[in-house]
Amino acid sequence: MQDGASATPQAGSRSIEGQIGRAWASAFEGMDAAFMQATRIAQDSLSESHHIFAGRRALMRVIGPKLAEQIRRPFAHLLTDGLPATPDLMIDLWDQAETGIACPPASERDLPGSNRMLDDGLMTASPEGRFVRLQLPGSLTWLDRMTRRIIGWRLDGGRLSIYERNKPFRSVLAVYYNDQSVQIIHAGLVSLKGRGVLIGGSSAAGKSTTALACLCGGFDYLGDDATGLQESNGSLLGHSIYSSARLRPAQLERFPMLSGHGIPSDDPLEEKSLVLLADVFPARLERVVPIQAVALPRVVDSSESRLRPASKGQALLSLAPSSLLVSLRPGPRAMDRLAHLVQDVPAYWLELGRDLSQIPERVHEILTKADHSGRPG
Amino acid sequence: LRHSRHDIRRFGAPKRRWADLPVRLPLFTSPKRAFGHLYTSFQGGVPVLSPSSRLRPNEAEVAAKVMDGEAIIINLANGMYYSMDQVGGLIWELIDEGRSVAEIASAISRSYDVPAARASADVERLATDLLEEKLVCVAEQDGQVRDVHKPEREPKLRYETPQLNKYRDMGDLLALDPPMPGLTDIPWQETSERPSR
Repeated sequence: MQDGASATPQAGSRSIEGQIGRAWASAFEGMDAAFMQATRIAQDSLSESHHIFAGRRALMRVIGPKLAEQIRRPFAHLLTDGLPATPDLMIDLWDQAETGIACPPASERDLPGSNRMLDDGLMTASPEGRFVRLQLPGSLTWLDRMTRRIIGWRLDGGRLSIYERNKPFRSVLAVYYNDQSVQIIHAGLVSLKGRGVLIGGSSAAGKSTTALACLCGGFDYLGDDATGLQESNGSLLGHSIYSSARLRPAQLERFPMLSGHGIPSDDPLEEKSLVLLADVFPARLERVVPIQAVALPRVVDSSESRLRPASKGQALLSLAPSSLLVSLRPGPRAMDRLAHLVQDVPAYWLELGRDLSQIPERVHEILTKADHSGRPG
Repeated sequence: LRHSRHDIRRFGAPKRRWADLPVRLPLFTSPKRAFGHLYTSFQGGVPVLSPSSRLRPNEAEVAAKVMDGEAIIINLANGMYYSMDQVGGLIWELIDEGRSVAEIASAISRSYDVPAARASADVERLATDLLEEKLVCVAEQDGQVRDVHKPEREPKLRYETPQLNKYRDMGDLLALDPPMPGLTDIPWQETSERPSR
């Protein structure tokens, strides 16, 4: 890892690889130049905010007040004071509707790399993997993994898709986090007095229901379907990535504290509404907690909610497929990290009955049992 | 096909065609006859195992772990995932150690209350299932039979026929959204350290 910097594309090389590498670098510089031009044109509407992303400082500079408001909301709980320290990640974003600066043109033909369809858009990675760009209708986002910088263009900051308002920069941030050895796993996370319970399982298992029932029942919230997992001094930390949730209308009705805050989608095919939890529970959004137990919810036809111990194999079987079989595959360490987690902390099946108010009690019980199970370390 | 001397003088020697040959080469009658020696070890695209066959996990496409004796195996290429119970978990561990089919069967019958013949049939069947699902490959054969350091266990554990449990719910999702070549393991992170700014 130490001398790996020599693996960067050879700037002076005349090889095809060198030419392609330079084309990608110059296209990224084009994005930078366009952002700087937008800064000069609309200096008054530039706003800066400092955040903590998985323990590292991120500086977000957004041109356009509407865009800034919508992009920052899901990161509101990660805000921090603007200290003079150098940020680890820079995020620069401009709104064309506000500045009139269009996105510099670049086609897939100019920038050959590996392509894939992702989030209804096209994600392309440069051949050596340094640059990643995600193109969606009215939106382009670049990530330079070497300098750790995201530059993005949005056609109209007032008309972002519900997906972007829910999880801004989702795919490029997943790449950034992965580079920092923080793995985004498909699981929720809640905590009580700084002790985290990871909520695992496939889609529709009841992760969001469990996480939001816990939040309404007095727990702190870190996520309902995306959590950053990081190994630190032998223990496992869970990082909050977004403080937003998406719920179907029927789900939203079951949470009276949230039902007034649902933002419906403008896409008629998308029934789920967006809830920005920073608007509802600003004081109960945590950034990072050590994970002490795993809950594996599943919906049962009963009024009561119950706990049953789950074997380590069952826990891994519930967590690993939905965390490893994602569009952007985590590296080979991912399975080891999940196995480490399952080995380290107890896991319980959480049978979700119809009475949501019992869920926080059961999750509290999980934490009490985790205490008695004598976790090593 | 006959040509008179007169014909040959007049039109030159006839062009030979393969079909005119009095004896056909086996190669052109049936691929099976031509390549028969290869067919003997394959049936339906899956190699037929012998007791000395060694397998290895298909590491290019498969992530697997054994937790408390239970094996969890994920095929990252097609989204299928699998679990195997205690006996199956031990079989996976021994495959991972590079044991032959015969060595694995012998280790199973030493630890579990099962006749050697049944252990051997079960191991062979499970190994064929794993091959069919492309979770393992046939390793290079070294011909040596090594002894598995598994002492005879007394009393023996209760035996349950090992099964490969298959789950395809993620595979159906993945069929709509296949993995991206090149970014699968996000290579930049694996090989490089970024210079500080």
